[in-house]
Amino acid sequence: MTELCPITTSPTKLALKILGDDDLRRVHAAALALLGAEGAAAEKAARLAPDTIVLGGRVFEHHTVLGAAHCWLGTGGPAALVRPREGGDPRPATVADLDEACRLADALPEVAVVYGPPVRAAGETLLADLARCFATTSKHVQLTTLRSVDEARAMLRMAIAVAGSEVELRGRPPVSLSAGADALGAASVFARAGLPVGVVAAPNGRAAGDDDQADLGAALVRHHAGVLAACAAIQATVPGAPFFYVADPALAGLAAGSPAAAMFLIAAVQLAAHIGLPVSAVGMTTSSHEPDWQACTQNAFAALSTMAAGADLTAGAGTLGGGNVFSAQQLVMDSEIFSWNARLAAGVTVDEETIALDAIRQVDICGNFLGQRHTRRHMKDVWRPRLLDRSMWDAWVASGREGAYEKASELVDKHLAEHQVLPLGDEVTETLARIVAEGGTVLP
Amino acid sequence: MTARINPIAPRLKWDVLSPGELERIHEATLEIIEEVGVRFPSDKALTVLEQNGCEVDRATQVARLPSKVVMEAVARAPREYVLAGRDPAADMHIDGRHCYLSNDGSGVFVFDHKTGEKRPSTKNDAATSARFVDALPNISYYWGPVVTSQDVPPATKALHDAEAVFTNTSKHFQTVTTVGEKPARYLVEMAAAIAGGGDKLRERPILSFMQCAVDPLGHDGPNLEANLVAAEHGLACGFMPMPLAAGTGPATLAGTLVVQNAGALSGVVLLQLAFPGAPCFCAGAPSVIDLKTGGYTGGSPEDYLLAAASTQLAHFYGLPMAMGTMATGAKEPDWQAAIDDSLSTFASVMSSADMMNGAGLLNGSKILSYPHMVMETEIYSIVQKVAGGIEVSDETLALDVIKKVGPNGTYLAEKHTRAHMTEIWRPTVWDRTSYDTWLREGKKGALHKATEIADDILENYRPEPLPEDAVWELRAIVDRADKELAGA
Repeated sequence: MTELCPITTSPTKLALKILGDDDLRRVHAAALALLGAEGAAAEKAARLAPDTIVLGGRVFEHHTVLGAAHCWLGTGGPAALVRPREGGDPRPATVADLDEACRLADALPEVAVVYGPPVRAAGETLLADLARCFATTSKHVQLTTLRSVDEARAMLRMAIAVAGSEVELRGRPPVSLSAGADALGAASVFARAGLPVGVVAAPNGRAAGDDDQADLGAALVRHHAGVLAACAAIQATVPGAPFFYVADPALAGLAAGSPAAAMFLIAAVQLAAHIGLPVSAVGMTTSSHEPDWQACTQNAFAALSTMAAGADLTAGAGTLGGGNVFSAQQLVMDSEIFSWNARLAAGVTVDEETIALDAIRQVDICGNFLGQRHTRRHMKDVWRPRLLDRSMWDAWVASGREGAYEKASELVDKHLAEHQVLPLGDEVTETLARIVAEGGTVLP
Repeated sequence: MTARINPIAPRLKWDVLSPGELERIHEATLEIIEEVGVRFPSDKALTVLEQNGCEVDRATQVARLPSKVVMEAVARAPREYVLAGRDPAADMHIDGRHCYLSNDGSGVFVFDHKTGEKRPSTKNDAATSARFVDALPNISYYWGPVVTSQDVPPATKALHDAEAVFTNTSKHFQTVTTVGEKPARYLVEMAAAIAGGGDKLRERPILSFMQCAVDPLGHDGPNLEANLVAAEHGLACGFMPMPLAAGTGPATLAGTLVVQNAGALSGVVLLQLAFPGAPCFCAGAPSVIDLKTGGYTGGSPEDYLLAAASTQLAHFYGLPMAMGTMATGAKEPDWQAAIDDSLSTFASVMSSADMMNGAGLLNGSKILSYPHMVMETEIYSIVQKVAGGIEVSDETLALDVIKKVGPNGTYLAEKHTRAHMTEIWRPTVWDRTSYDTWLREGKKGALHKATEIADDILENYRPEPLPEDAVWELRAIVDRADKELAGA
């Protein structure tokens, strides 16, 4: 049976800041200075971009809205390797892996956006990958691998087929683009059709992504300048085009999952807010090779950094080894990290009902609140884990010492066995197949 | 030379509550303390409260504390003080600007990482744990003991714990197992013996006390009396409520904050009424009930919101906060432990908790694991780096260098890079090698590296010894206490 679970999101009440107001203005001014004569125009261009962006799903339940003070989760990708579900060493990804990754993302309520695509199937074209993504999820697809203008045009045709018409495409665009400087041409094709884009173009045409940047301040300046420059280029082509701020530590030359990456993410979200752009952040890029303690610490800090700072989209879920390896279990475990952080980002509600003075008065000193009506009204608000073990020691030993990984494996198996994706429809499927057959570049 | 202790001075601030929300919870707390009251099951405590204008019901042992009395008492508490180490290099400056991590405390098992099994803890384990904490700069003081001495008379267990701790670490010791007036007086005597007398101890307090409260809105008699002894001797002390939302607190976080705040604040009021100006602190480990079992969750997002908000409340009164931090419910140093410890530490540091308790225990503060403690100090160092924030200046913006390097260049050979590259955080147990290297080296993960570090400390580290005469004096005091309190 086809399931259409609404996507889990949460309002972001907290606003973690790493830059003071003066520092924020100073970094922004330095970025404008780096852009030289183009700086003033770039700042003006950023103001033209809308402050909210809809990332459409194929159904209403799978729409995502950036810029609405809510946090959403995206997968990582594209990974060239896949860690087999049954364990063992990573191997090159296949189309079956891509299908599984998208179907799993479709089944997980926490995942809002299929990013990448999650895996890059060996020997397949990007067009074929996108067609498979559309067929195996009704959630929004945010591409990161598109570079060619011709492929952008072909993808645009695919997106129109999926949306139903050019008008519907603008209202609920099923695909968007997040990329570096070499995707500016492709981004312009998307932007003209109303598809959201986010690009980091290094100032003076420089390619972003050195890995030897010792100073975080300098990395921020260059990255911010790169976003401003790209925004200016897109807005010059299509004034008012939906443009989001890409906050990706890798594009700023920072080590995956490092404290510097976490700090960069908080600052980037602040800079985006400063110029009024929604944020798509790559927040989960563990360098660990397994879904383990290290993977969790790195992704927990990165996700907390983006979500508590107020980023709209936190992408990167499900990858290991700095984004090179996709793991189904890791996607489930990262979804739990997102769920945890979403609850944190929602903060504490303080009003007459939540302060609960009457309930406190009614309970005896040293008594308990279990029987209170107030408790029954609110107990469902308490966050509940899917992967944590809270049993007693002996029960845990008797269970075979089952941990989060084993629980995640069970969930992966269950979803892949039971979850049905909303079908595309024969006509759309045929259109996509025709566009794919007309050609595209096989990715290296 | 490595610093003896390594506190965090956070530049980042994470306010979970707005000023208006803070005020509202404060007012609700005062209303509850004044109207419903708080249970103080100690005649001594009730007398102090009664003599200072509180309405006391001796039958129920409940005291209602007028708001005016509460706020005047709180105003007498010192805003800053020192928790001294036997080694002055381990002194902690409780000043609202530093966060100090301790180990976790009161565990009852030790996880043997060589066999994978757990066993009940002994006095020798309390001693070893103190030696281990002494070796880790990221753990600034010893709280607890980490695991209690279960092979000694129960009545004097806290004193045996203290003997094991004092002889194996020169860091500050905060006891959490000393209850009742008599054991507390013995313990103060032990600390005075090390410090060189009562006056010297007051000058350089190497000992402080923390006691649990009884939620909601209550205290425990022996705990109250032990803390009154501490305050009498100028030793810092505080009370730690641990309300569980939907169990011993309302199901809503704001309501549980009222219960948490009432427990911590009412303890401070008693101490200030009894000994005005005595150093004291708020403490807390608020959590939510596990809806599946009705028990303690051992980590949930609500815990961290409660921790950050409780710390904001303590600072609202100008009081230090000792916050339950880390203390994962996980059974092993695994993925679950990682998320618990990471987010918990982040919340405590970003809200500037003065003291954080603490590292080393698994399974909801029951089981000691040394590799786990090492891994938690890595988490601490990550949070320390992030909490340090980003310095923005001409030097750090490096515009000249960026312009000079230009497109497609490299920063590696730049003087600016050499000047700043040592500031880059480096991991101790994280692995950043390529997949092939990791495979070739035997897939050594964080736990493997942490185990190597832990084994090295256990085998080789020797703390600064306690002078021999002090060792003998402690032994004599504990012997005397065994005879009087345990009939040994």
